[in-house]
Amino acid sequence: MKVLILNGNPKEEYGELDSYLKDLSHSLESKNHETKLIMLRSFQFHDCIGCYTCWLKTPGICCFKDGMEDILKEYLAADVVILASPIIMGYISALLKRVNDRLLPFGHPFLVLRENRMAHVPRYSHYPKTTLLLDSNEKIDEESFKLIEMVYKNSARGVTKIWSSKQEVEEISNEVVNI
Amino acid sequence: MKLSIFNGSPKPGVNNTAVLLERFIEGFEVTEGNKAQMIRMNHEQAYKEAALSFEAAEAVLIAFPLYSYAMPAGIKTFFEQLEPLLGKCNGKKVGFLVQYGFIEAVHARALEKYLEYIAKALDCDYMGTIIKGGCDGLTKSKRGAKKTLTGAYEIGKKFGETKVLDKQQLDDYSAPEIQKQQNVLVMKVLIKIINKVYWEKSLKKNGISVEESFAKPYGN
Ligand SMILES: Cc1cc2nc3c(=O)[nH]c(=O)nc-3n(C[C@H](O)[C@H](O)[C@H](O)COP(=O)(O)O)c2cc1C
Repeated sequence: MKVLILNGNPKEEYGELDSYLKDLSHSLESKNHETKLIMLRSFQFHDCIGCYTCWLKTPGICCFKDGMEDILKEYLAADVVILASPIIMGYISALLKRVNDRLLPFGHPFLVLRENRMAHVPRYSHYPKTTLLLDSNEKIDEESFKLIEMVYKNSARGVTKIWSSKQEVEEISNEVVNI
Repeated sequence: MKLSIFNGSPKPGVNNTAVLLERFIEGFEVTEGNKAQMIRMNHEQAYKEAALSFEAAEAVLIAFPLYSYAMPAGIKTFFEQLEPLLGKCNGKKVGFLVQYGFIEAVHARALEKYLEYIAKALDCDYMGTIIKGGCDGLTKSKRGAKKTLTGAYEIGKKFGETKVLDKQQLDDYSAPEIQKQQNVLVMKVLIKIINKVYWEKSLKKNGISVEESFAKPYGN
């Protein structure tokens, strides 16, 4: 399987998540999964500005050429994507949310009605299974964990699975196989 | 009451959030003594400055478009600037306005829970969240959105008078929660029309055919 891990930890000084993800990546590789770990904070990504160029002018391609195009390619080529982030102010990092927003070119402007609510038509015929890995070290984050889960469960493309970095690396890497 | 309104639409120019806010403010300022101050934030430096204005404000309304079922990354950047204020806002009044394209309220309900949570974590007095779908074309046609705009005015007016966001009024404004089964056929027809007259027309203006609009530059 091809696994893409996007590390949305914005803080260099917060090394725990970085090393956790490295361990996870090694563990997946030892199980013969082709794994790619990308450090998002080493890029200077633009926020999505809602210009709809990727829908209406250059279909599928964002107006910004800042390296995100390579991430979109890797994303589509993967079987499983793990979006990883520390919980900051009760939510995923702005860094990871920025990438999340920039997935707009994966959709198409046309609307459909699905489960009695509106959604967009997909652009590609196949998408990877997307998962979230949340890193929390404080107690208050338990509630945040649930809220983040709620938001992603509510979303059309959704996430297949939400993990916590409190889980053993092996446990997660075993589950990736059976996803 | 002095109300500081933060507009966090990531768009560089005209935006739907501003169109809605304009009417809200009009209603709000009907009551004598009320004054709204608009703070535009849509880039890194602005989020930092906005955090200072937030700290100084008496009452706050944070407005933004729904991006992928949550706040845009920029609003999250703004929230991260507020981290030092966790538990320290002494009951500052905070409300939110979330507008977006899809018609149903359900899309923003999970986010609403988060907004309440984070407001309380800051020790703010959470006033509520104005949720309004079907706002995609507000900057293009104000005529077609009369009800949406009048609703924003009415909410602003009542808020200006009472200093609280009326839960019933907000729910009426956000409706429908999801499409009722008996409306599904009508909605499907409406969606076909939107795809044709809104999206297909916009594509055509850019010289892009429907087939070309489905380009798959990065894969299958
Ligand atoms: C990256 C991105 C994500 C969006 N996600 C959603 C969404 O999840 N649901 C929705 O109804 N509209 C969504 N929209 C549409 C905007 O919420 C809508 O166009 C809004 O009116 C824009 O407001 P503004 O003009 O004030 O920026 C999205 C738009 C962008 C650019």
